[in-house]
Amino acid sequence: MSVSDHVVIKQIITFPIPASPMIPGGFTYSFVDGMWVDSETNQPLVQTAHMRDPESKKNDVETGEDQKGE
Amino acid sequence: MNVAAQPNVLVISNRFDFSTDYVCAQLKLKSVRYLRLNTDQFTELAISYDPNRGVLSVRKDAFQFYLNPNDIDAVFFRAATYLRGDKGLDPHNALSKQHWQSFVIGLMSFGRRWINHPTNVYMAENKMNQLRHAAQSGFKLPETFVGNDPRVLGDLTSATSGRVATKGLDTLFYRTKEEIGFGYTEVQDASEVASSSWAELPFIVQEALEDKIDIRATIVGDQIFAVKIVDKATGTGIDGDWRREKERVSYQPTQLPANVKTHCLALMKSLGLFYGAIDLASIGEDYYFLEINPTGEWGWLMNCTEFPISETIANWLKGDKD
Repeated sequence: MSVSDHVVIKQIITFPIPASPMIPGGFTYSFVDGMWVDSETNQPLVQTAHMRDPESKKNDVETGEDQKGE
Repeated sequence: MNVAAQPNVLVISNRFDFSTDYVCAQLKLKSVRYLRLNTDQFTELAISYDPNRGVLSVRKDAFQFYLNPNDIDAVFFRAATYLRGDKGLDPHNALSKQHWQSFVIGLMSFGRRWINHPTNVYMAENKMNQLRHAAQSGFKLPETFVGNDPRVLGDLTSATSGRVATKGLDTLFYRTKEEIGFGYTEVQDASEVASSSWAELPFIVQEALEDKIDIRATIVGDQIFAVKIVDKATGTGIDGDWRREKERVSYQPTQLPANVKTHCLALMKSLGLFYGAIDLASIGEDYYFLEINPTGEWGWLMNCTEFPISETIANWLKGDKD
């Protein structure tokens, strides 16, 4: 048997490479504020209705619940 | 050139880590002077570290920051402690990433207080290490073996179900140019596991916990924010890895028994962590430790629970509560 037949290797599921996280239009990353903000009002994205429900995974990449800082 | 006021808090993350945005929004609200450095944006900055004086200069466009180790009181660390399987990069870009990784580790000279310190994250992420610490902290664990010896199956097979749970010793994750691969915890018949190959890499095999309720306990300092993860329709637990069933689960705030809280805090102290996301499984009155993630996400809890996790982190970074 090869490594591909290994117990945990066999259980790996593959996904297509995801697109980068979608940021709503009108928001930019502010270096000074250290967060995504409304380009006009400077309101933090995370305090607006535009913020989708945060996923349990980093960067919306399906790697389970946490992407361990990748 | 705008020379910004000396920051007192350093944040190390990446620009798409929205959990960090929540904390920075709180820091700004509390008028804390902070600087966020994103590992995916280093090449957009002009950075210079002077080891003689210990001062880090960070410049972007018209903004200039000077970080003096004596003035950085706290660091919020959300970066990887080592690289995992980034096979999609060409060798030169891989070297670039590796060297910026080294730079991030070099930032350990800053900050008197860390959420969490990289060396503690590195050790705590290791599942063998964390399982042992959990057992020593008083937690009940499923019967567990780590390695590649198939003889352990005989000791593990549940008397009631004949099933075992298998999971990677490290995150089962890889990336190529075409795809991402990820492995969840699998619960399967012991006979299936017995017929597979074992030798090539060590892994975790545990007794299957049947009829469990999954619990996520997010720990910030001495505060514990816990939710039960159950089927929306029936209120019952999820068989196997609940992350595969996210569309059908709900997260219900719950209180942990006093002894379980004690174990959680003891484990955090043992691992040297201020923040941690602990996965538990309850069966009746029994609570089992499954794993801890020192960089686990919490943003997904906020909309359904109103837990003040981001505010609590920001308060600690500010120095309001140690």
